[in-house]
Amino acid sequence: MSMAIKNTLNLIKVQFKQKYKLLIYYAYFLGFIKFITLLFLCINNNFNFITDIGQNNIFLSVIFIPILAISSSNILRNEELTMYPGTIRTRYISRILTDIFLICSIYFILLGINIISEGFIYLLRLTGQNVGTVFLFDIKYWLIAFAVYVSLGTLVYLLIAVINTFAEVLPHIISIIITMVIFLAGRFEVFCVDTLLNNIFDFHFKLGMGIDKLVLHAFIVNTCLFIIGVAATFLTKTWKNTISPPKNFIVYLLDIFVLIFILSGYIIYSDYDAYEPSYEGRTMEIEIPNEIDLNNYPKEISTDNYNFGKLLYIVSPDEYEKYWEKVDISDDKAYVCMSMRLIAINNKNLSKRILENTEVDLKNQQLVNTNNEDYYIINNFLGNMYLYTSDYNLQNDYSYMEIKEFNMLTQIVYK
Amino acid sequence: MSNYSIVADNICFSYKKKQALNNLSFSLNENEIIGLIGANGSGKTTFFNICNGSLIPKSGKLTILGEKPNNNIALNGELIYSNSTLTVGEHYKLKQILDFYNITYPHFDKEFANKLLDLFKLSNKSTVASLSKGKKSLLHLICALSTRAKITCLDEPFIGIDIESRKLCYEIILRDFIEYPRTFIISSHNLTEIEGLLSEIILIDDGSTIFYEDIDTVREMMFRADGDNIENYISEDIIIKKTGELGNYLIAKGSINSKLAQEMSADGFKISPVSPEDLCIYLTTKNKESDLECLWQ
Repeated sequence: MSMAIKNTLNLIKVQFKQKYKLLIYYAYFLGFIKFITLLFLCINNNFNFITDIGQNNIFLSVIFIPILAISSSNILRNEELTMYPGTIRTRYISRILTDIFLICSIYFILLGINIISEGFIYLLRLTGQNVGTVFLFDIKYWLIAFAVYVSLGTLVYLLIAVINTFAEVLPHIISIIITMVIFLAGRFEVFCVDTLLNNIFDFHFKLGMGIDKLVLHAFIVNTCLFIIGVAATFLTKTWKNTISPPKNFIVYLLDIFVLIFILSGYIIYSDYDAYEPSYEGRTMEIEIPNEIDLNNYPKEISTDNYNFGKLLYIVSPDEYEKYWEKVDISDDKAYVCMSMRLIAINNKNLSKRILENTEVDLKNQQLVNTNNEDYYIINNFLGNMYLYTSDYNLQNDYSYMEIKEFNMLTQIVYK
Repeated sequence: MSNYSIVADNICFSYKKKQALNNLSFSLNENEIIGLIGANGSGKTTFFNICNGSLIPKSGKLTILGEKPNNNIALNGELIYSNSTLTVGEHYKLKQILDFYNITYPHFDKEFANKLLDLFKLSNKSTVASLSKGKKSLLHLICALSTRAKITCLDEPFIGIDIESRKLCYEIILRDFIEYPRTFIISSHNLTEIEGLLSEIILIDDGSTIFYEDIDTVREMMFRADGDNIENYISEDIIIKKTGELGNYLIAKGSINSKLAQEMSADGFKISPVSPEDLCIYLTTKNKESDLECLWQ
């Protein structure tokens, strides 16, 4: 093993020993928040109170990144390493690798705690509690979620590190501009691909380009950006080749500004990034009393009455025909055909679940949707939970924070 | 193979407009305890920083154990630079600090370090933040000694340490040097106290070398003559002549056995050697008598 690699590994060991307590504090903090969340769940099923903090892992994960990011403002000086053998290069590389290792460890802890939490919720479900899990045994989901977080965390960290590195040899504002150019170039590439896919919706769907592939794509781009950034900072640092005096406090403020900017960008990005369309259909028989004249009913009943506002999306007739299952019609029965196109995050086909638990009845000569089963579906790692309730008045009780589009059609088919 | 530990050849370094090192040149012998003496801002710490690779000279050449220090990992492990102002991390326990040194320095003697902690009554469970200034200096010194690095640079290592512990430190450094011969370079403002420890002295001023000599030579470099009528003596060797209410004396180059000293002794002057500390002051002072007098005018 070359001296440089050995030295780098030694410095990583030292830095990990210097910082490992951050992981412990974070694990305690995260565990505490999850514990409170589950406690509320057991006591009164009050999810609304804890949704934002207890279940939103972006919030939880983002807490840690600024700590590392701000601490990266001393990445070039590394005061706590200067008394140990090492070159500027090995100190710099070891610092970055240690921080990346910490970021991965953080998300590994987050992953573990979420799996435990999900398992607990699963047990609650088995005991008849009004809660459901759909992700517990989905390894792919956890891996994707883990990749998303690592990708986000390393990218944010890198940006701050790049700024701080450039800032040593360039005026700070120029270093921010350079960093933003690198960042935006990568984002633009992701944007182009996603826009193409989203604009050609069916193409997107037919390709089977799920969230996992999009995430993988973003992950690869972020990784490439990371490597470019590390290379750029490394070269810059090697060129400068000395330890610089501390920067002004304004550097910290600028770092925080950039961090907020990036996170805002990420949230906007993730808004359109996580689509997964699915079409589901179900046919249900309804006994039609003789006194009802089915001719008075429209052949198609849209879900306008559910008043989903702008979320309501009616599929075009072409699409409707494409995904609508033709059903047999017998002489004495009407058939209610329901089709749902629901685009949910995380590749989870919630529309099927909703359809399976939805009944359409005739009440006072009106068709009424009823949902026979209600429970919470908790997207434990990649976002907030959303509620699935039996109340047929869906507009009040159905919250689906990350379901981007919802469409439900019922069709009365009669002879 | 050369017998020099450090060879500086016309090193120059500046911080923006301030010239810190100005053609600094010397060749330091191996396995000696060398005192690096100079006033504040004379360039001692800058020189140390160049030695440990933190700074690169603007011009000139520095070799340590025959190699360039910058980006030299092998050499880094054989050189320790210790300064009580180094940030080791206030929240770490002492045993953690020893761990860090143990991981990174190839010859670090952890057992020795723990013994020294015990000797100075420093608990390895205490945090750095809980230590007084003197104890922090001791911690740095203990770590530096325990690395057994071939080049041990101690920059003001005794700041804040009480006299009893300082004496103990001098003895430990000396005995450890005997057990494990290596090159120590110690900068200190209290030359009188560490004089007995040093085998050689290098004096720098304004970033340039004034002299680099062994301690015995330094002790014989100047003498002091106290007595009246010092005005009668004119010689190129005379550096300072002072007359006043506190007495008349002159400082001249040469040992107490030099011709001038003997001559003055015969004329009734009291001849005494100039201590290395005073010598350094005489050679580097820029203050004049009038600078003081103007304070009360």
